Amino acid sequence: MEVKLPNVILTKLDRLVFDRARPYTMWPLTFGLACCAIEMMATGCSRYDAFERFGMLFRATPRQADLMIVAGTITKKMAPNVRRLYEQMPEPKYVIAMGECAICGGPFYDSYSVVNGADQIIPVDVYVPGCPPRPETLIDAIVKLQKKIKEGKIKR
Amino acid sequence: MVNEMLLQVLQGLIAVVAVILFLSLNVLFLTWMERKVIARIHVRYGPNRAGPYGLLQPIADMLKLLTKEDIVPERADRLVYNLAPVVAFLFALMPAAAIGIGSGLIAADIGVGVLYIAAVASLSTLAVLMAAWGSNNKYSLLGGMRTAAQSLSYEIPLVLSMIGIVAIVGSLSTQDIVAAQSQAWFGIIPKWFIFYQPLAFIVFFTAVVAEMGRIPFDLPESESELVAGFHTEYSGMKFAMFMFAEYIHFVVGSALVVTLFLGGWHLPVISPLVAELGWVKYLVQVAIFVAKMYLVIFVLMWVRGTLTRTKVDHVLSYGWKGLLPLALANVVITGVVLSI
Amino acid sequence: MAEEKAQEEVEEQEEAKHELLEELRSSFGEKILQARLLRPRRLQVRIKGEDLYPVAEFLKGAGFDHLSCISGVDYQEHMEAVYHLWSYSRRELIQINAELPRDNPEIASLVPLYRAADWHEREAYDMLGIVFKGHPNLKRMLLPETFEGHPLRKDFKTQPMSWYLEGEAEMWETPVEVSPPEDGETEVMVLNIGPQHPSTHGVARLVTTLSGETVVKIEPVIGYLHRGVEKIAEMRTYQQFLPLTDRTDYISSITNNLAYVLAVEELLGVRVPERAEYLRVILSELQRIANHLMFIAAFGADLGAWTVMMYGFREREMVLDLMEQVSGQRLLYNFLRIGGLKEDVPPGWEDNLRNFLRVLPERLADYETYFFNNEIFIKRCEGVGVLEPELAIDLGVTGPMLRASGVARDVRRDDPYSIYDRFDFEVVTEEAGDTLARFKVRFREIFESLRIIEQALEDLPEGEVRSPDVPKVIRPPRGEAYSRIEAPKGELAYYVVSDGKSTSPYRLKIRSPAFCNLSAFPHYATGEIIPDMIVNFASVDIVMGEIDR
Repeated sequence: MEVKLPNVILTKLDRLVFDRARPYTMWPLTFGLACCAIEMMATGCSRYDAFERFGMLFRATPRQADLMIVAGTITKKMAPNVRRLYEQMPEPKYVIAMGECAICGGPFYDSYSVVNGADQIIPVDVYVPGCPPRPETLIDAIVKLQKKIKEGKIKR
Repeated sequence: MVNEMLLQVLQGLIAVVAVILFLSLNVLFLTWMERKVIARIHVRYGPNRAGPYGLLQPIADMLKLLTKEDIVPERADRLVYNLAPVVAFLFALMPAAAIGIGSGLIAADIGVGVLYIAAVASLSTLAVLMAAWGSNNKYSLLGGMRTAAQSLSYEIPLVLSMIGIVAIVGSLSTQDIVAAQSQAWFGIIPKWFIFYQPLAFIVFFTAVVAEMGRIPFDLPESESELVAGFHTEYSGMKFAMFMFAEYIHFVVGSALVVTLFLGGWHLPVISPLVAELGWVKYLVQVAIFVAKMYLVIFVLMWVRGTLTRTKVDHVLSYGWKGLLPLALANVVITGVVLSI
Repeated sequence: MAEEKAQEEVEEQEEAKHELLEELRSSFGEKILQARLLRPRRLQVRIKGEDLYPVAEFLKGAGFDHLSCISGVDYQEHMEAVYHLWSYSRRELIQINAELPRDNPEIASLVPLYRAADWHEREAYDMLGIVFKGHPNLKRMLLPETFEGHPLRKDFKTQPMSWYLEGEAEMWETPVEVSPPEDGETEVMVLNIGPQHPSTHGVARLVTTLSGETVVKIEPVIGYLHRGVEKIAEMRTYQQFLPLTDRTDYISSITNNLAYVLAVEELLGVRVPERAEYLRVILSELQRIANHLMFIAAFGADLGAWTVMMYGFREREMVLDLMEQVSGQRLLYNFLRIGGLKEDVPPGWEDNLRNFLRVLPERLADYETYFFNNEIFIKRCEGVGVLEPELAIDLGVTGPMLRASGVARDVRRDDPYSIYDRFDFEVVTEEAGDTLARFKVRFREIFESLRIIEQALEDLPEGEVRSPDVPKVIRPPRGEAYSRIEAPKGELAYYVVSDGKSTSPYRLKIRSPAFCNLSAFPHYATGEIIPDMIVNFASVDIVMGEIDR
């Protein structure tokens, strides 16, 4: 009878202890592409202060980040870079697709050089509608992501 | 004899554990405090979700960093790359051995405390260079070179400004230096070296900020210029080691300022009061020392929230053309005054 | 009274135009195929492609020193390269339509005359395939080198709604060849800054060649946000395109709306009611304030002073609150309409605005203390990135960057649009031309904008805000319009061509100020160290949506 004990212990530990800590310390990558980036910056500034309150610290290098907020239109020229940045981030990592352009191409859906949504390139956990989404919407998205992590619904 | 040796080894171990514990607790608290203080300067709240007032934030950070995937770049120099965080942590801890937080509460009361600190403090640059070179990344290399240049330039004024104090006290031991500041004029105004050596204080304070790599001398980690400086390629626990080392520098540097210039654990009215009360005396001394240390830390965080970053050539020219002559002048003046 | 003045002006200008036209006719005779006056101060001439260089040379000698825009248009039997040149001394704009054969569109390059033509011609080559003979570096600009086809040609089929079709992946790879360093420099390193970098203000990529810490050569690679807006314009109706104009310069959206709407109104021949004009001016100036506050915030962030960024955004939130009360949106308003505004401002808004006008100068006094008494800041910015005035004019730089080099040019005063000729404001200039001067110009422009808003608020008339003459289906008669405005970043212009038959523009070209300002960046930013380059880049005040479109 093969019982894979070590994996059971580690997975349980992971779910019980570490997934309780991870929602409060997600570090986003500074990755603003277009207009939604301005709204993301405004969310992080003094009035809404969405990021620091949740313990999120912006890191400039993908090696130290675990959340990627795709804010803005992904063009076909930029797509390989997005994929590469996603792969440079260490596990466990999460992605929020912010704004219509990152969900489905947005107002530019029929352009010859726009990728219709971030989920064509990288797996997305939370979609945030809006063009651009209001800061409150983005905060709601962060809370949803926190819930998703705590409930263990992130598929890896 | 064996018993004696065992006893000494045990004492040494207890001292080491105590130092590491003290530093770790302070560092964990500091990560929280820094984010809160900077946030308040920015007219916003800092972290306040993870636990009451965000106090569990550092623990959450630690837990997360423990389980991050460890990525080593393909063409990195493996030995150097993996060793750099360890070396950084090691050399950050070493100066703490010679700094005491109470009379007799010191890990290694060597007679040449100040000299030892000056020697070991400059070794942490090695870790930075190892990280920069081992990452095989142009940003890291640039960041590492800058950091090495900055550390080198500010080492000399740092050491020179300590010479005046050593000359006044006549000893290199940190315990003696603090003991020499225990008197007070009229019982109230303390005879701290900040009043005796104001020039040295200014030079030392500036140099210690540069050694710590904080704004305005933020070159090692100039985020908006060089992505993340020398630790661009580090993730997970290795990055945590670097962060830890940086905050340990912060704590040790502030402790040094307090020891050398702000009277250590002495306070004019309170210290004579508790001098006879046995072990309570030690508690009070530690409390005073920690309070002064946090005052210095707060001032440094305040500076960080207010000033901008200086440019690399300005940093170097301040060091060599500004601080070094001032430090030398201080030594000369001290010598002249002492001989009179 | 205003009408008589306009009538006089038209007659005066017609005589002056005739003067220019006479000069051209006397030098070139039959080569001028056709000439027309689009409106006062706008002469249009049509020539054949091979006559372009002599005509341009003549015009440059006649005082036309600013090359505003070079576009290409694909009329299916022939192609046209359209040039817009502006003369400051004569206060007039000339539009040259140069006809080219469609199967082999070649024309002489204007780079020896106007260095600003460099990037414009590369873009025309990229989008339409017009070959400019004599161009020093004719490569693609917005699309990668391996891309096949020219998108703005009428026979280019837009790809269906998915990506990475067969063979397309290879087309979109973007290797960048770096030309070998000059003078046999061996100790150089090529560092790639961007497209993801904290301080590139979006997705710009700077391929820098470094010698130690000194920058030897910079090559900006743009196109990472190229969304094909100009092609999309040909697939939308005139009203449907309006929201897309917001998304080009997304920091100050109303000014984009304004430039587009002015062009279409010129094509339709529609007059906008007075109240709408005044409100448009107020909203544009509010956008200018918002943009400059964002510039200050981002500039502080690049220098490492995060506190400044927080404070700058806090002030900007005040402007965004006002805009939200008017239009319901915080960032991309889509509030102007062809013929006026979407609706009137809500009651009580004017009081809020007056309150804002009172509060902002007090807050800005804090900034003055922070910046201009701060030695570190002054030392980092003074003398860094000096741009000479002649070089600036030659490179097509406009806006605060040009005014910081001492050249007092402002479209609001030189070529007034809307009702700007009724307001009294100062054109802010600085002499030094360095980064500190650019900062100071933008800082002081905020106060000038506050003055304009105050004057407009005093004279604000009652009335409707939309012209009743605009039809529901907008199908303008055949014609071309070029509307120039002073956007916060510089001269923004929309060139709209209508073919009289369809409800979509036939061709729409956006002349964005950040595009031309960025083309000047490599010329003056070399020879300094990396932190200086970052600060220089921040002082250009670019926004990638506008550059890449």
